[in-house]
Amino acid sequence: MDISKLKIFNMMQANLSYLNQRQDVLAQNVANANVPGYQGKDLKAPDFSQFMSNAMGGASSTSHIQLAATEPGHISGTGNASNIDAVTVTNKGGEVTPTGNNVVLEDEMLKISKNNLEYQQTTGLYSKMLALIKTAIGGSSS
Amino acid sequence: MEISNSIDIAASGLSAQSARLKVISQNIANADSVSTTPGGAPYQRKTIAFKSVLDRHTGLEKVQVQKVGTDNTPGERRLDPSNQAAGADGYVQMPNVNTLVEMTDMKEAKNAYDANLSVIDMSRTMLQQTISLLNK
Repeated sequence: MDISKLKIFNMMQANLSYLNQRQDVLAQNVANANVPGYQGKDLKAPDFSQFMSNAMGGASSTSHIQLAATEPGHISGTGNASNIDAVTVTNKGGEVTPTGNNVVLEDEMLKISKNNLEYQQTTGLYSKMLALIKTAIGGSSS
Repeated sequence: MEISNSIDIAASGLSAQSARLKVISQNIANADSVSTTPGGAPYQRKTIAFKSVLDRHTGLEKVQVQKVGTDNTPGERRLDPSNQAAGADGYVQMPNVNTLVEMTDMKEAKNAYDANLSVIDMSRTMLQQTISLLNK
């Protein structure tokens, strides 16, 4: 059995990948906190309910999130679940400085530490799942 | 490697903020630098501007120093006929540096520097957590 066929691993990989990308975007906000006219950005979380319905339903044969085909010419690729392209959104409102910059450092730091915490949670869960599998195959789980 | 992207970006923020601190300290150091010739122009306060630059490799926006300019507002004129920089009327043109403004600017630069530093710290922790999966 291939580990990557287990849905829980797919989901965790997708989550880690999303958190990674979000860290980049948040770092970009902090770095540009003093640039005139810069608008803060954020990443929208991928829709994990789709994973869940696939995992729970069982009947559905597709284990991957499908790429959206909005035009007839689009190829319906088999998008790998661990490679989600999350949507970048521009932050609206908030405290805008006279130079037109709407990055609030405190907010960004809060988001970054939450992001970090969630990453820690997911990696912790990942190693727990690996330990479970080890137990199942009779190896010594550390 | 994705996490090192955010370290790169935060590092660009660090270098931009330290360039800003350099300009500020230059201003403070020269707060009393008058001209060496009678009636000449004193030190003029320097300003710094940032811009965001798209990093094509990562598709993210880094920060860069756009330019270091000069603040041309005239400083105060002080009556001091014995000064070497005094003009024919006995007045000395003083630099236009306001130490209070520079100090406030310095605080803001330090805050931004610290923020970038803790981003690097957080990213490093994330990287370590990923690596520690190998030890399981």
